[in-house]
Amino acid sequence: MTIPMSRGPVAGALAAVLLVATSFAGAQDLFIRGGHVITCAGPEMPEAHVLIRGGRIEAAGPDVVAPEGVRVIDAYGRYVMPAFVVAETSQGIRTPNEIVPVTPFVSVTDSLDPTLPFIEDCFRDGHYTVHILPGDRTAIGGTGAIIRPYGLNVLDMVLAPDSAMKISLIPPGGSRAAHLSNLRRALEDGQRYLEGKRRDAPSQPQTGSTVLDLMALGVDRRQHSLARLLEGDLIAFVTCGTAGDCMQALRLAEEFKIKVQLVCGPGTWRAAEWLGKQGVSVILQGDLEMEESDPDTGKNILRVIPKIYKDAGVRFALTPVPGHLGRRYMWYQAATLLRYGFTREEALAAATSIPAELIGMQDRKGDLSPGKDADVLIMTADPLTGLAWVDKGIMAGEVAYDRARDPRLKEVLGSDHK
Amino acid sequence: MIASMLLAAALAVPLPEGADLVVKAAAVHVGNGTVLAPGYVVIGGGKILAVSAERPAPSPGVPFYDLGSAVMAPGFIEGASHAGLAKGDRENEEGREFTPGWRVSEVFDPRAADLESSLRQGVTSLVVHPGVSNVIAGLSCWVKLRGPRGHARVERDSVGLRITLGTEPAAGHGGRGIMNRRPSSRMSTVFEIRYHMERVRQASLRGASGNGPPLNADDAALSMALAGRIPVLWKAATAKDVWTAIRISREFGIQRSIIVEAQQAEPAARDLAQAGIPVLAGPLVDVRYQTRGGRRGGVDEDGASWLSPSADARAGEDPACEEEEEECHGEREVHASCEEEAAPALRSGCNHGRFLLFPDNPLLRYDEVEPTYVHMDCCATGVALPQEEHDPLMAAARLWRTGVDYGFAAGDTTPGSTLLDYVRFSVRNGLDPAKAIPLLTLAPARILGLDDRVGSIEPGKDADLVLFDGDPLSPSSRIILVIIDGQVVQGEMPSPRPSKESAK
Repeated sequence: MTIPMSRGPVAGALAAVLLVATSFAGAQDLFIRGGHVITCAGPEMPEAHVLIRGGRIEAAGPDVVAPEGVRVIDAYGRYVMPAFVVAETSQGIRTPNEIVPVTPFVSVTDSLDPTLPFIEDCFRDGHYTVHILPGDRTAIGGTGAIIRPYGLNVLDMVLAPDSAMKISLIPPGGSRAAHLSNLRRALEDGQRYLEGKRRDAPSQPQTGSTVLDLMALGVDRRQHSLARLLEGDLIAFVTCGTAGDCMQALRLAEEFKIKVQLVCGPGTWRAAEWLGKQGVSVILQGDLEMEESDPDTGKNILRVIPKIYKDAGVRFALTPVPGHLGRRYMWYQAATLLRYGFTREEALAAATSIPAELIGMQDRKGDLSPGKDADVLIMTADPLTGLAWVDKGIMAGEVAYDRARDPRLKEVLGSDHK
Repeated sequence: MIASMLLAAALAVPLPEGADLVVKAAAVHVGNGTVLAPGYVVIGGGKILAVSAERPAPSPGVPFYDLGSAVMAPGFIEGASHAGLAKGDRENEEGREFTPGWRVSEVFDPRAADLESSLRQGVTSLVVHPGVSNVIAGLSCWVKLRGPRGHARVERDSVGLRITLGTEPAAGHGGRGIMNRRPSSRMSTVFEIRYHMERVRQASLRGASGNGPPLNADDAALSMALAGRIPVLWKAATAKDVWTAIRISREFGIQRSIIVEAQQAEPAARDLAQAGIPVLAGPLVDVRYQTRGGRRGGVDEDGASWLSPSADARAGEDPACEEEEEECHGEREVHASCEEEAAPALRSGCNHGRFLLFPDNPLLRYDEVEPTYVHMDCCATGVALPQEEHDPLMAAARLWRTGVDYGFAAGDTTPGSTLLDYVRFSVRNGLDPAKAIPLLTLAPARILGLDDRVGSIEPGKDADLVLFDGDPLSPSSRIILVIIDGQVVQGEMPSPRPSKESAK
């Protein structure tokens, strides 16, 4: 099935028809034959096969045999790999933040816009699991959603609604002290509210589900997300701009007994060693190579953020930077790591299995081991050293994308484009 | 054994006189499309003395460096730079629109920190332009990123006369009353150009025939451009500006016109090809996305291109204003759906502003200290540009199909969308890989008239070289060495091989 071009409201409607039709097509059993297979769960296999059944990976290896009646896709000369996982982004939604800094009741599921070019780009570029959160200009920004860029309505696209709470330690205006104080106040208010509800409740509910407990306590629906965060049922993705922010994030986690996942901008590199000692993994956001002027000499110094984190023993997930020529592609971000002494395995893991783990989807996404969802990319060249396109994209066992039939590529690059 | 050594000596290319060192790389991109694999380059006196596929005869005293699997290319030429200018200068001359005699070379800071950034990306030569706020802006200069004193050096202080088309010279000048006579529309920008060109043409004729005084410095500079003695470097970001440049060039018989900073050249490419006007395409920025921090740029709906030179946009640095929009206390945010709505806030005397303009389409963010108008077709139309215009690399992909003479110039964009990325993604979009490196080297050098000295690895040219640890087009390859005038300026050479070793 081809992907639509988003070109304004009329074309968007047409696009809607195409995508909706596609999204109800069933998954097939597939045998991807003869590609250079990168499972991200073992060594690379220069000529191997991948068997997909019931929308899941059944087996991958050189000796896998195609059962009768299975559709065969030839991947000779191509690279077969798991689809990329984007652990954090604020794209794909119309307005990334509200004007008020504390809005824990807001949800990305409500502002997701499938017609935005970002969604089409993810689909074309092989980013098949995308964790969308509110933007960084907030204190508590609301809950995110894990989506797949396929389907034209929210129900089709969302894999996990209310996946995490957005917290940003970067003040949208004003000082960090004021920002943190507001953040604490919001969390304390939430705690006080919950305590009040518990105190007033005739009996403490024990339904086994946090949400049902909250409903039984009569907690206002708008307070549910914050309450889940405070009860440990929801993780907070905390954006840190500086090294100090990283420390404040872990301090908050301890103080309020909340689970946090750090999302670190390039300015946090000075905290890498300390974070290594804490044993946390992070999501890297923004520039991977950052230039700084030495305050004393004025000399321009290059900081290679992933290298600094790796040397400090911190595992990290890469994220793309939409709008940039190269950095918008996860494969390009991973290829950048190869320049600085990372192995292929490490570079690819940072774009697939590690982000899957950090968003809690490691059971389903991130590699081609048996039982995982069949989100598979057939790339035209080595994703790390070539300038690869996604030739065919398989999402949940369905051949969702075929570059040969991509109308936008044809129109813009010409029909002789290979 | 002796026979083979004699044979090897007989086959070896003779070593030219004055050689200082010989470098061997697994591949040498000459810059004109030829690739020698392996390639041997002889450097002497800061110049290339020889380039060949065979090893030159060894000679004692001339070290031989074997760089293993490294790939060599000529140093890249960045043709659309504003680097090395302090923010005030880069931000432009607001006092007058006609300043052709002004030289950027006079205010260029050879020790500016942003030059290192270019060097790291393999750029060895910059053509630095004055800013975009005035119309006939001055003389652009050629800078090499290292001179004998260890910092950058101006090589030629007038590579061309810079003329700005588009909305920037007119930006922000509307509605200031009769005392303000700056251009406030595109029409007046173009009028300024025509007016001065005509005036100088007449004055030159009078001067030449003895009927008038000699030209002053500004008029003289424009007169040189009209006479074709120096090229005119048109900043023309959008197709309509490109067409204007073609038209004016034709009207005034300007022999050498070059379009620089063309973000949207593709629709006008055939006309450029017909008029014989070369173009440096770029910066190629996707305006569909808001970006986090760093610099951003793009082309707005009305065609004004902009590059925000601001540094890291950490919101925390700016104190927010809690007051109503009518009062301003320092930097604050104005949410406006179009310029009309933003204007009252701007006129309220606020010096600092950050504007979030949201039409239906691109959410553009500014993090500049001075308020900058974005001339957008107001939300009234709400029509988004076709995607291929938003995705300029896709548009650039079609440039080579039109036969126009072009190269790339990235301007001073953030690392990550480097010049090299432009050609990497062009190749991905179908460009013949053999044409890729020339688009960053010989093409801009030739277009800007620097190819007598730089742009390719050929005998007689400056030894400006970049070495990669693999195929430069691969995204995982890194720059390991940069050489300017035969001196290593980034990275380190390995130890030389002993020169007594027989040629292998």
